[in-house]
Amino acid sequence: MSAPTLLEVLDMSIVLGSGEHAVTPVSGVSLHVRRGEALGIVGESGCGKSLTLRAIAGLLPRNARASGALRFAVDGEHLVPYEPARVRSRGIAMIFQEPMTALNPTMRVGDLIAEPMRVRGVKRSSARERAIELMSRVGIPESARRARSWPHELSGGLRQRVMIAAALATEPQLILCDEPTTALDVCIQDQVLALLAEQRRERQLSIVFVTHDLAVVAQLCERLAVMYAGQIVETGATADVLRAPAHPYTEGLLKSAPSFDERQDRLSGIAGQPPDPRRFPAGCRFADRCRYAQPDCRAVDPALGELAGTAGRQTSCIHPELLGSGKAVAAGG
Amino acid sequence: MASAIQLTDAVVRFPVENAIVARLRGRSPLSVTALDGVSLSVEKGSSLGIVGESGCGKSTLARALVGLVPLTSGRLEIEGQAVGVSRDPSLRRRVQMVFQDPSSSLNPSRSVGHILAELLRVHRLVPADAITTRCEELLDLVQLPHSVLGMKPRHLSGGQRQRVGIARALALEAEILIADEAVAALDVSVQALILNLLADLREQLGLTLIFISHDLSVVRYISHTLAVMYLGRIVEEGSAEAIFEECHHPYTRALMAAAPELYRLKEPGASALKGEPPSPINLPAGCRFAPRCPLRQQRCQEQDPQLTGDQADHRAACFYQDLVTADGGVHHNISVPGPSLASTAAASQHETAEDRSR
Repeated sequence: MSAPTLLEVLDMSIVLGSGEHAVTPVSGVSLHVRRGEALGIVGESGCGKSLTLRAIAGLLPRNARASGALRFAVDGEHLVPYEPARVRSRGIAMIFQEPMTALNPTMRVGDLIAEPMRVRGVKRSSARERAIELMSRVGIPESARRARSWPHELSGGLRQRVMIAAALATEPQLILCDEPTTALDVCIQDQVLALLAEQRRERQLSIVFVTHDLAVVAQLCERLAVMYAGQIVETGATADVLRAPAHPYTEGLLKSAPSFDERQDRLSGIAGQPPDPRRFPAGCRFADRCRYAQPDCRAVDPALGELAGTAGRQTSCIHPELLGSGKAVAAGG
Repeated sequence: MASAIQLTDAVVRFPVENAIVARLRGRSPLSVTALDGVSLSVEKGSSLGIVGESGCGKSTLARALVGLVPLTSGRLEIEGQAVGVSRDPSLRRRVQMVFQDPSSSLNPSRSVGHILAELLRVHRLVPADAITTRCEELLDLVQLPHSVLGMKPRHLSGGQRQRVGIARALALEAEILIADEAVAALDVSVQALILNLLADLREQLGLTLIFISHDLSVVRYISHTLAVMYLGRIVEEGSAEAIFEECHHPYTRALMAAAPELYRLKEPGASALKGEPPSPINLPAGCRFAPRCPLRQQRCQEQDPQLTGDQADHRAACFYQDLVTADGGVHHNISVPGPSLASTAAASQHETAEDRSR
């Protein structure tokens, strides 16, 4: 049987601002992560993927309000509603895209890693020892010496490792990753991904990995959720989604990505822009850019539903049968 | 065919400390060697891709080609004419750059129409009464609606701004376009459209394109020839097809092994490349890739390899380039498996996930 569910998000919406200026950049997002599973959330800038992640960690900006239910298996078995700020650094840890801005520049990296342990009452000397041990575990050479470095003295790859070590210091069950490899070179990205995969294997860590890069998700995550304009438009096993996307947006993303396996003659891209979160259109939010748009797409508010004949595949497209059928109609028609 | 732009033995050094302070301390000032003997030549109407990690000198190369960074030594020729101290403005105009971040390279307080018209006026490219028509033509070329002329950069999306950046380069009747990470900041769906636009413009206007990127797949899509850079040197160059088919330098191989792919599951960490590039201030003797190279031999630490190769259109700076392809660890040489393999690989990933939970 599959592993128990560790985190569940039900029908979460996030509202920024209040009154008539309020916008809802994330609406009705539901997702779950099992123990030891890696879930990828993919989408383009502004689709709400980072906000969703921050809501799970309780790191929303001050003017944001999240609604919906968050449940986390604090004991590893039973899902209970939780207060994000209290679970953070006690079961859920987060790593960020920019290690330079996320690491406190006035603390030596050894102290940075030891701090969460100190907060939990570990003695200074043993916290320091453990920090050095963690640093060697994440592949930082000469960790005893490096523990006395300042964040600015380290390269981007090492900083990202320090951040991962600091996240692991609390022995979390779930790590939330917000584009942790986007700012890194491919070889360093490869090393960081290998490190995450190894930690996951070793301690049954669950991972939620937010990125715009489908290829990274294909390498790291067995399940995938695609977000567009604040909603999840498709979820399923990564391999199934990549092989046969069931939402036109996913298909568009896949056809836009150049490959170095073979030289393509033409990339398709997706014409137009995502809708303004202040004025989301009625019906399907992707309809204006969709090659397959039908008149009823703008009439019905699509909901994420099980794709017929599949297990665990969900799409919000009401005409998934049109995909790949060659029945494209002019975009915006 | 004649080469549109040719660079011979270019060296660019940046001082990293004050020369007077260094002299007072009794030594010569430290400098960073950003480009160290780089030679390249691009045929008219073709496209060259330059790849490498951050700090390898690819952006310095781009800036040196446009004249934003003076060469410490070396020779730059544009269409056979040497570019020297007294640069002919028309020669300079022919080489234009498209920057990575169009929001910081376009004047935020001017409308798009103003930005384009100013260029046309300053360079006296068209008569005053034809400026608006020319601006509209330029927007047609980059497939933007004419209404954009009245807008300021902040009203445009990232993709539209990058199109304005390209229109700006075309306004000066550029013949050589240098795109430095021009699509790196864009979302993948928009990136595809900009790549298509650049490819179309190259064909339509006969532009020569130099495309600089850290992303191998983007470079493969757009370039005919390819140069791989490492620490200020070109370590492998040749036709893009040949290099992607069979690379001859261990660094190129590591880059290809490290790049994540959509339809093939790789073992993470497959690049086998440990650590990070050494500091360009204290370069190692011998091959500068040697400290990280899996094929390193004694000779690599003593001698500096030059670009050599059996084929005229494919050269690599490695003494043991035959081993690179002979080694069984070459990932990209396996025939394209298509999605089916990805699914079985992911399925096995599932199994391991379940094994773990038991």
